[in-house]
Amino acid sequence: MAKKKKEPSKPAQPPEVDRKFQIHPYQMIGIPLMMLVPILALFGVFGESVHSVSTSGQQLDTSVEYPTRFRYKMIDEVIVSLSNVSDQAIPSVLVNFNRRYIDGFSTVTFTPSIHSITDSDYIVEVIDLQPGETRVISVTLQAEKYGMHRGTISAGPDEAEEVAVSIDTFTFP
Amino acid sequence: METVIRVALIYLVILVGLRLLGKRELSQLTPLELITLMLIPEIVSQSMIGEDFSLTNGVIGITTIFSLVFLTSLLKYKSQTFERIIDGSPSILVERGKFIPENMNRERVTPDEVFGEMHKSGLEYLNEVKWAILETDGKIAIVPEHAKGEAKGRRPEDKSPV
Repeated sequence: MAKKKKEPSKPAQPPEVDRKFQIHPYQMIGIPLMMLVPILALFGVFGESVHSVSTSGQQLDTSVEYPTRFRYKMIDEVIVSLSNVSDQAIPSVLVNFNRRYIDGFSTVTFTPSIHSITDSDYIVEVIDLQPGETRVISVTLQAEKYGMHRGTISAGPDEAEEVAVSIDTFTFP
Repeated sequence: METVIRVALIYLVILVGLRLLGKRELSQLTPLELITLMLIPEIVSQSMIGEDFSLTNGVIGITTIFSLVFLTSLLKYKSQTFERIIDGSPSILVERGKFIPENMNRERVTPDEVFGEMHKSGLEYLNEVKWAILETDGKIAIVPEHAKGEAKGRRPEDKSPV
């Protein structure tokens, strides 16, 4: 009489295979590309970045802090600092913000408010800048149109003394 | 950067949460479970993307999720320990015609559910069932007493690769 085979107390397990990392050819391109996005994001490539640039004239030091990259509908600021480096008070400084640049954004707020608007510029006036004094003009912007926005910000007591700074901002969609 | 970290954290919380809910919850959605799964995206979407509704942020979020899913599946495939941690192990509900109440209680599977699956396999009596196994995907597999293809598998004690 044949000896009865002892039954296992668990269901049969699947046989094992040699597990290796193998992917489809299209995945060899697609997966690294897909993973590149969060990796670049971790390094801040798609994030906001701010750049600062300064320029000096005979009477005025101008520094501009502006976003070089930001995203759709995000709010950021352009900050212009004006310092009187002369030993005399400057009665009036006109700061011109290029419309080509500013019109690429929405919900724009100037502090202090705009003095005048021309075909090419929004103009803010700073009155009675004392020797050694620094005044700040801030422009709050909300990203609206995506792509590159380029323009200039110029400031000076008169056209002969005017200093200009080129700025560019890339808005991610 | 913030989006990647937020998405990774939420992914981890959902993964752990679904794992804690148990296997059964993944295969059959009761109204309560359906509501839970519908509410999760509503609750976490704000915490993942914050105030940033840009397309760029959406693309970063989606690619982060896809990358995490790919990495998880890769780790699961390479490491059986990791696979067990993520997917869990199958639970035996019926052994040779007898319920295993401990496992049924733990997995919250009723005798009616087991019988329902038996009927789908054309079985009427419990003693016709050799194994009823709650698989890691939450489905109940029925192995009848006279199952075919037993020889293709390996015994639990046999650990050697093919």
